[in-house]
Amino acid sequence: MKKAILMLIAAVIAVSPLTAGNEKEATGASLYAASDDKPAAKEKKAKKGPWDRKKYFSLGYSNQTLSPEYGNGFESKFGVSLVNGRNIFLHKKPIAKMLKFAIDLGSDINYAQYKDLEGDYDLPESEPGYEDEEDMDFGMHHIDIGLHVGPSISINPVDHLKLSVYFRFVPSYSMLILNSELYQSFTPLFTYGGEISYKVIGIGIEGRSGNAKYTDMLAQIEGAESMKIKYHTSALRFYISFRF
Amino acid sequence: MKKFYFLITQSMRKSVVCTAIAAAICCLAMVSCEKEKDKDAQKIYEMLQGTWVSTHVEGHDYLIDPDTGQYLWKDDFNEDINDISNEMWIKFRLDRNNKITILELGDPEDLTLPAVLNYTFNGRQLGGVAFSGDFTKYTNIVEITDTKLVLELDDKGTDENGYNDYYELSTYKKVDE
Repeated sequence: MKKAILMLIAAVIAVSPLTAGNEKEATGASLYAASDDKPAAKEKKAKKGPWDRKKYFSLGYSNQTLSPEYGNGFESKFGVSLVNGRNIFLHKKPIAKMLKFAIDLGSDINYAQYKDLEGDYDLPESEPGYEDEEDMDFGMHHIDIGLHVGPSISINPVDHLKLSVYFRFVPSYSMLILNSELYQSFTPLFTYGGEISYKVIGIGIEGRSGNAKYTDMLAQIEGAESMKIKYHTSALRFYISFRF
Repeated sequence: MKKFYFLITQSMRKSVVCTAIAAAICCLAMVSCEKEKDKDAQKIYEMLQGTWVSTHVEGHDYLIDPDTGQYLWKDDFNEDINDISNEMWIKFRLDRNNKITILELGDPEDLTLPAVLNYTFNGRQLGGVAFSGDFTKYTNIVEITDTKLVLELDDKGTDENGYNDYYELSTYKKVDE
């Protein structure tokens, strides 16, 4: 029994230096490997090609019109858009070393404030309206929040310069505030445009349009019967984009 | 077997083609109907533009106890409106900016006149605060010509007082203003 225990202890003592040595070797090797990889990794990071920047984020100025089915439309006095997404390239190697097809996928948020129209009756100078202070005029606002999906074609003629054209379907939740009335709708919007970019930064222009039938939100909350009103949205957007 | 398969696919192709043609004809018919509806609605919208003054109103205003079915309030009315002394008198103007300018009211309450409000139009109904009841947010256009307009407000609903049943058929004539 004693002999067996002694032999076991001796075996453990004999094996432990070997494993320690191995570990040291292993850590040494990995350290060496890590230090060897660092310059390669840095080199790889620095050498991002024109097709590697698949994600985009753009901030745009929007000139928008909201037109009812009958009557004059509202022109925007201010509009802003935020678009975020990525290109999913359909093939690895570019065609003719410069052309690639992709599917764009992301989100699209648009806000516009409209100028209110006036009645055509020649009113006196005094402010007409309700004396009741509870009736408030919130102005004319329009917000669309949606996702976008659609094809795009990108060309890389030289260096990191890229030219892209695209067409996107943007199903959106739309909310209108028209003075003291609130409307909401699901709006199928379409955006189409082009962009020119160099490495991280780019500029673009796009058109945007869609029709929707809006329902009165306050009537829905009150449980009252209301009618649906059709509005057409059209806009021209100028944007600056960032690719990474 | 091959011949039999060929015959089946031929007949299938024929049925598919016939179905497609039928669907196309239906679509064309629907589109032309929609275009016709749009033309009528545009005509109505153009006829709405201008200044209107009330001439006649008829209808009823009931308040019913929902538990007992008894009338808590019952008022039937059918009268001509000749001038501003009648509380149902109204003169308003509709324009292509989708604004209604209320120029005169028999009973203005707390409204400062003239008052400009929004209105909406969907081809056969007028919406907005000026054309809304307590439970219904639109008025139906029953009849319209170049000089005559008849609007219907059917406003029914329950509140803390009971079941409200308000019906109004109002007639207007166009004035040159």
